[in-house]
Amino acid sequence: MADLLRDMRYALRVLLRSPGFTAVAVLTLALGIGANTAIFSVVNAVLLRPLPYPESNRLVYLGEWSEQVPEMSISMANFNDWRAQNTVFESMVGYQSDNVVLTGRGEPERLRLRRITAGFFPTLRVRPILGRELTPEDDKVGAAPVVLLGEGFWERRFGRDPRIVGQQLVLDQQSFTVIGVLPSRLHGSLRQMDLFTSLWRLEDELGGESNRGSHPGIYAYARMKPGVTVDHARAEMKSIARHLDELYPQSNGDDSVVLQPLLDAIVEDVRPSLLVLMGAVGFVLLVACANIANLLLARGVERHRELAVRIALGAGRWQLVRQVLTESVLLSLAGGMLGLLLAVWITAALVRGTPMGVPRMDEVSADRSVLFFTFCLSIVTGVVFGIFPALEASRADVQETLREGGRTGTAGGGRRRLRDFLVAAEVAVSLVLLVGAGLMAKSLFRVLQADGGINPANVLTARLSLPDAKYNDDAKRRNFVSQLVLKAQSLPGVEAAGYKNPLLGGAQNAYVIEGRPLPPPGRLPSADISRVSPEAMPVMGMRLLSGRYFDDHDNENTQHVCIIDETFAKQNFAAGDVLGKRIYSGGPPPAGQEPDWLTIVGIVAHVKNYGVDQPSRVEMYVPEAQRPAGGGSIVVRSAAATDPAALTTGLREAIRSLDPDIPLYEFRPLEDIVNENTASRRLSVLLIGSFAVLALLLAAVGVYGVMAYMVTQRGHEIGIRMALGASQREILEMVFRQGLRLALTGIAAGLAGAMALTRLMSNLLFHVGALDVPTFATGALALAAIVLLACWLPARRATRVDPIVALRYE
Amino acid sequence: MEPLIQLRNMEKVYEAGGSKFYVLRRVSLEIQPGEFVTFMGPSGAGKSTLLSIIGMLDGSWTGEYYFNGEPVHRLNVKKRNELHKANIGFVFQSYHLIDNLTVFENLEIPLSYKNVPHKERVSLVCDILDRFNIVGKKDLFPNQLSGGQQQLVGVARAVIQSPKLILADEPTGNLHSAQGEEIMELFRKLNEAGTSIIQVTHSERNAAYSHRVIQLKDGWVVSETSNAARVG
Ligand SMILES: Nc1ncnc2c1ncn2[C@@H]1O[C@H](COP(=O)(O)OP(=O)(O)OP(=O)(O)O)[C@@H](O)[C@H]1O
Ligand SMILES: [Mg+2]
Repeated sequence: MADLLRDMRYALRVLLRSPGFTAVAVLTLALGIGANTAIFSVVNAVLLRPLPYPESNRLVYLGEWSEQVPEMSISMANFNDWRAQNTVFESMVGYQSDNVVLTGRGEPERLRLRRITAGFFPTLRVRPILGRELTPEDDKVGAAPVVLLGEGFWERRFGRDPRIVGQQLVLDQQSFTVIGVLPSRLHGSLRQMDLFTSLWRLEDELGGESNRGSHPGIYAYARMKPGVTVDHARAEMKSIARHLDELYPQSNGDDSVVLQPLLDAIVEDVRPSLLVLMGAVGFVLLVACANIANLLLARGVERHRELAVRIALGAGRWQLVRQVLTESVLLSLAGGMLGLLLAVWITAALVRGTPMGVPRMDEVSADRSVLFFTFCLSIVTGVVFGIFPALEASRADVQETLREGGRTGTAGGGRRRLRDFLVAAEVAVSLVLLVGAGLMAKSLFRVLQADGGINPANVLTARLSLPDAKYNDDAKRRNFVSQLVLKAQSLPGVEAAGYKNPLLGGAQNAYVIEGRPLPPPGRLPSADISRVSPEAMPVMGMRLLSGRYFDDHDNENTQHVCIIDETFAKQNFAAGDVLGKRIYSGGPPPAGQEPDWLTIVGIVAHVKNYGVDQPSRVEMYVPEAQRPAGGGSIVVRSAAATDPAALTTGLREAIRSLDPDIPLYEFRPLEDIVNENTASRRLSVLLIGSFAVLALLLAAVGVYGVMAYMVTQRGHEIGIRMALGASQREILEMVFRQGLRLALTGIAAGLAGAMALTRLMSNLLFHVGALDVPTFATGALALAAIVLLACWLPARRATRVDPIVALRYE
Repeated sequence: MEPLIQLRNMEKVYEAGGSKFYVLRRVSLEIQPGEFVTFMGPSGAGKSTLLSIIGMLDGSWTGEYYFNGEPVHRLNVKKRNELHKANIGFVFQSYHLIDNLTVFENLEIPLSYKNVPHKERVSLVCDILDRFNIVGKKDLFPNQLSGGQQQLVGVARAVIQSPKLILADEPTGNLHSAQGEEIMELFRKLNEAGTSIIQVTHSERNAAYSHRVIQLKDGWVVSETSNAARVG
């Protein structure tokens, strides 16, 4: 211990004696460790930290699985059977998400609501901070409507007034009694909920026991009994599902169960990109390490004599290693501390810059494990970059060094090889990052270039929902929508307006084609179906490939029609033989009566509803007028110069004049919605790109350092060569050849590394192969160019060597 | 016969902090082809400086310098380098071999700068190894040789391209007298074979090998003596 203290004191003195070196090293390390800490605090919060519930590793997520829809919601009857028959869960609860409109308390407001079954929060082991839980008595058909508030909503809307319990809230025209408030210590999606109410009270609307084929958006959480593993639970649930398939082949087909740890279910989408980021930022640190190791090696030359003297005085090899390592660890700890400050700042920027939809981003904070990570990382970093110089130092050849006397020797060919190796490694790692960033950037470019099937420019959208209680028949709904569209169309600046439900994507519905044999149950093909007003499709820029758009004649009194997309047409019909064919949508046609056939009147281009880089499904459109439903989005195309604020006000006034209790909400340009799909991709490109640039800079500095050092070291040799007749060009060539050798070694290793590693990110790529030749080639060329650039100054310096001066000193 | 080297009123000045410091003052001298000349003088007299100028490593001076009739003072750097490359070999007090090249590779360097084809290079190096009796050392590195052997290689490297003129700055300064004598004998043989030599030395014994001794002091040429005995 005393030894260690002495070593540290000495190391501190050595570091303070060369403040320039120390500052550069600490800054480089701070950058590397800071970036790593920042990304780690995101990874920690999102992937590693347990959910904020006691024994949360026993919580699982459940959904239904079928061939066509791998993650389907659970039918109510199946849910009840799963719950009754399983032996692996302590409790199992269901939920469904929805939006409701709060009225009667000033401006109507649309709120996020989750319908839950009784026992939902006890399963998570969360208790209300005020009032009481939802009981089984609240959770059945005919029970008095009750509601629990989220803490955020309670604070925002009621200023944490405890007297709210017992008061009434009017939601979608129905009165609910507030029974309690839940804490905000919930995971992301739950914390954002404003309201919680009973799910089973709506049993009849959800299909109930009798309608096993209906999947009304219910998903489930369960808490496994102590000692039950996820695999065990999954196996049992699958066997229960198989049994139900046998009992109810008509509705269940070959359905099965999806069961995942709850944490996995929440974060699985972001895990690959976060891990790639973590890897990338780790590489940056490696490059930084190599750089500092190089600096230390260069300094080692000067210290060689000191170390040789120490050996001559009897220092053991291990004592020397320890001495030098103490120095490097001290350096990296200083870098780590500065890095931590940097990380706080980077993390804040990251959290601010991250698009919605990355789960748990709001939980990011520097907790104890982040501090621990940074501490360990600093130590490891210090050892990694210190070990080469330390071993080098311990290998000092006493005799030679002392005999060499003052000569700042060209000795230590081993040292030079080591430095060359480190720089080549830096080049290699930077190339891996550069290629990775290049692939991501190219993917992003492809995504932005890709045809999504719609033209979102100058289209404003807003949502509305029609409460069932008031708009309780088709005529009322139809009427409201057509009135609203008419009013919107007459607003100044508006070129056309329409209505679509839902705005993007659709409700998945099984369909049957007239005259074709019926597939076995559960094997019916399905399509995303959406309801549109006649103008909606042209407003959104959907391209008609053949036939016609809907028009005002497609109404409740005329033949029922539909428009399909090109993939639907390709999958089911011969080219040119589509229009006029009839399909039935909504499951197998009812027996014993004429199905409600829809005649195909048009084919449109396929729309990539969930983002051009996401899988999309076969699509189909029906006229809103023939199948009205409760809510949707109004879409308005305006002249480019139109003020969106004025348009928003105009639309608000339009709807208020029709029904003051119905709010329009989520006013958003369609372009923003479409761009949101690429937001996380853009962030990844930005981050990996910055890491690559950082690594590249560090590598360039490293190359520069090594070459400059080489020129200094070999100034004598260069002098000799000039005295022997070397021309400037030949000296330049000599330096560049050396640099190029480094570059080529590094680039070859980097290309090999990139080939091995980019495969790991192939599921983040879009229309770009993980081994995309142009990207690899560009990366390699760019790196070669940068290395040569970094050689330029030292090479020029080499040509300025004055042979007389270089040769004089003896 | 045209002199090999002709200097007229050569001056060299160092400027330090606004004050001028003359290293060479109005140096005028001629050296004939085939001559073996020694520069002597106290430390700081300007001997090495003069040698560098003659060797065309140093271009900042005033006066006239004709090499083989070519006006060096009027040549640009490139031409000067060519002249140097084609005609002059250097031998240094501390040998200045390149540490991480073998003897063979060290000998190759001057040839590589004259674009001698590889085959010819190899045969030239082999010849010279033979002539200097160091074939056995060709794969050794400089630090594996004794000082005398290193200087032998140094001389070999200077003569490999058959220069008209060899410039040697205290070539035996770091050697024992026996080793030094060996080098001087070598110089004599080379000189007899027709190579002109200028050496700098502090040793009267080495000076005795040459035809003529030029004394420098504080940048001035102070005397010239012919070694009549040797001119014979
Ligand atoms: N770069 C320089 N700047 C200023 N003065 C210099 C420089 N190089 C050499 N000198 C001076 O020029 C003078 C001549 O130096 P030179 O090396 O030619 O002497 P020398 O005769 O070879 O001496 P020695 O016998 O010690 O080798 C010396 O006084 C030296 O201090
Ligand atoms: Mg000298």
